[in-house]
Amino acid sequence: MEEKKPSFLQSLILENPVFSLYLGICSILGVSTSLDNAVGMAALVFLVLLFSNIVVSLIRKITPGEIRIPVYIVIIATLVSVAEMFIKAYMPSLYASMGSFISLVVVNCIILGRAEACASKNDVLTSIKDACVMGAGYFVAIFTISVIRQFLSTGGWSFANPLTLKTIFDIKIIPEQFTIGLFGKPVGAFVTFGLLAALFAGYKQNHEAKLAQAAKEAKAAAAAAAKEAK
Amino acid sequence: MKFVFNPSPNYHSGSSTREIMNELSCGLLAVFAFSVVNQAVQHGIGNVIHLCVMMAAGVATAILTELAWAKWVLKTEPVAYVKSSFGWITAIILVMMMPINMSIYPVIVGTIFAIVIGKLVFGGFGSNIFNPAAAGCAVIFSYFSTSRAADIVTSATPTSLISGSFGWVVSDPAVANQFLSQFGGLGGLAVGFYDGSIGETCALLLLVVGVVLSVVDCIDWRIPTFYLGAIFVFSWIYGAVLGMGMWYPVFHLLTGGAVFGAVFMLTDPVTNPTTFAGKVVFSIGAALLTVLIRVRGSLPEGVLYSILLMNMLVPWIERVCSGIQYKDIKKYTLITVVTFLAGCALMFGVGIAKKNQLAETAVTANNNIAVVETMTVTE
Amino acid sequence: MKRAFYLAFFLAVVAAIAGGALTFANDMTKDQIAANKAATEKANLEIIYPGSDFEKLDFTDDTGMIVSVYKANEGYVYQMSTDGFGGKGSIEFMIGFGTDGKISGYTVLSSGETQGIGSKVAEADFVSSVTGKDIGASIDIISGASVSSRAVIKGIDAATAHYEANYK
Repeated sequence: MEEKKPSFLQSLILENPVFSLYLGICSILGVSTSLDNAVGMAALVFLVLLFSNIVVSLIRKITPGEIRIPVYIVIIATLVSVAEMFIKAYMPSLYASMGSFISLVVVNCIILGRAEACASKNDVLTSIKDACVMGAGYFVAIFTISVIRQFLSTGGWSFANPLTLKTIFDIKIIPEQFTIGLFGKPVGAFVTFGLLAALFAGYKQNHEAKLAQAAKEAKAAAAAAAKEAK
Repeated sequence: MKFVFNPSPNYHSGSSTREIMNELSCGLLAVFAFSVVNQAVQHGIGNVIHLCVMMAAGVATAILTELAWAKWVLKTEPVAYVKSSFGWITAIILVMMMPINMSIYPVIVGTIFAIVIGKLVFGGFGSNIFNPAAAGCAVIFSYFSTSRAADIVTSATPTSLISGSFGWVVSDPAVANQFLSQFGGLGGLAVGFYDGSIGETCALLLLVVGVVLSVVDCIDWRIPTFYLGAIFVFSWIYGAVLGMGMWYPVFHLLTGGAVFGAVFMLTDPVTNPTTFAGKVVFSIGAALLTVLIRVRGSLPEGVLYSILLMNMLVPWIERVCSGIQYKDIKKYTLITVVTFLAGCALMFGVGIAKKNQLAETAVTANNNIAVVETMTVTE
Repeated sequence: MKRAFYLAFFLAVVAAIAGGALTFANDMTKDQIAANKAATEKANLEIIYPGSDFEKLDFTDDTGMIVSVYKANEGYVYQMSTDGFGGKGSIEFMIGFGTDGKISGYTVLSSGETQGIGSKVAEADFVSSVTGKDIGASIDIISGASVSSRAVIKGIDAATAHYEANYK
């Protein structure tokens, strides 16, 4: 029986690091108040993840097993600090709005988790691919939540180029008095995250039920075919 | 022959859930009728219309939300689900806690939050941890506190005046008399023809409704009794330490939705403990939090948040107080008495602290700062 | 034993390389960061006195609330940090004392106050009630936001006292 491998889009939902593996949640809850923040954080996490995967994978043969966690943490922390300095210098508005959450990327479970689970055991190319998939999943997650939260809490969406501060778009759909401030606050973050996680879990459940059903039918068909052949 | 299966405790009151909810609705309707009269007498037909619109909006939102949930999330028969889920009671209680000039949109948002996050997500009627009306109200007061319908007339409520101008301490009896006479004295406060949250002003009527509902076994009489009694004792201790007369605890009882919360919200059988000792501890804890939040917290009202906080503690209370009540009566008496005495001690300490703080600020007098008295209506 | 030495050595090498990378990045960016800070400072000062030159002054401060003092063409600008409802140093604001004896401007740089309540200290109503008043005149508290507005008024009083003692 052959199992149909899920497409890239499907795996973004089924194996999403945030909604399936429940990793890296704290940065999402804290930062997803606007699209600017979401894109900035997703880019930061992706870059740090990519480079940490590459470095960890390059030195995986010479890293002694006993101290691999401190080594990974030093690597990740260095990368994040360098990134933070660059953001502070060239994208001060992003730095002001993301604040301490930039430093928190050091303890983002996705990065350390993927370094341990994938990069330390595979070659560089596989690690890069893994970083891309996980980064894409993280981006989907944080983007979805920010879209919902920014729409409900400010009435529209806005996005500005972080380097030049030029506004790229600024749409206002709901008038001011109908915006729900709840969603701009941590309460709204938890509520949105919980409901979205339930949605993703439901989709995963349906998908697995369908797969199980298909497997059962395939098995029954194979048994019938075998009986036929006898 | 009808077999009734309950999780223990097995002492059954004899009426079904539907009957209980119907009796509750009747009680709520009586209070609603009074508030209609109150608004008509005080401010005219414009307010009455707004009140009815708020109530209709709340109930309609609740029913529609539950219909949608039943149809698309649970995929069961919607109408039957809504009938057995009693969402409109939540909506009515929520609207009763609003000030009369709240706009409609926050009521709708609050009701959706109350029904979905306060009740349905936990598993529907009977499985919720928090009082759903209180949860919705908390959202409205935190995020829509300044959203007011423009053309509805109202005036300052007793709780907002005493907390804004006096910080809940009125030592001079003459000032106290003048303050109370604004509302017709303590008697006027009890009858309820003044402005406050919609369903909370008529303390006398609420007490009557509470007694009637207890007699027909719709609500448990023990919780309101212990709650109101504890509020009286705790606020009396605080008032006595600060040199205020007997009017102070009575004031605490009659204003700010204490009686409404006691009769309709604390008695919600889903969210309070099942054992007698548990209920008593629950009531005393809620009373303590109510008085503390009112006199020391900067939140608009103490009843709401005390209910939510005690709901959180119910599983722990249950664990401590569960068991055959009459067998271990010494243990349970000890638990309740200790809780009560701890509350008294705490109120005494808080009173002394406030006294010292007042003495301090009187010495370093703030000149040059005028208090601008604007009529902000918060409850 | 030898293994432990090797582990420590490996970790030390990794840490050294990391330190080197950090120093390199720091050198590359620190000028830009300093320039950014100066630009935001200037931008804030320009809110009070647009187009003016500013000179940062040394000062002694007993109250602990004064962050910095600047001399502008038309007066003096004080940057204050007070403890509002949001905790220590939760409100940072700038206030300009003009040579004409009136408060030239007031702007809140950052506020950790409650949205809709304490945040009123940054809103137009309160700003207009402060700007244009004579230096040392009384300022009304915002009803319902007494803790936050009292904190701001305390800061303004401290700045006024320092101004009158030193520069009047």
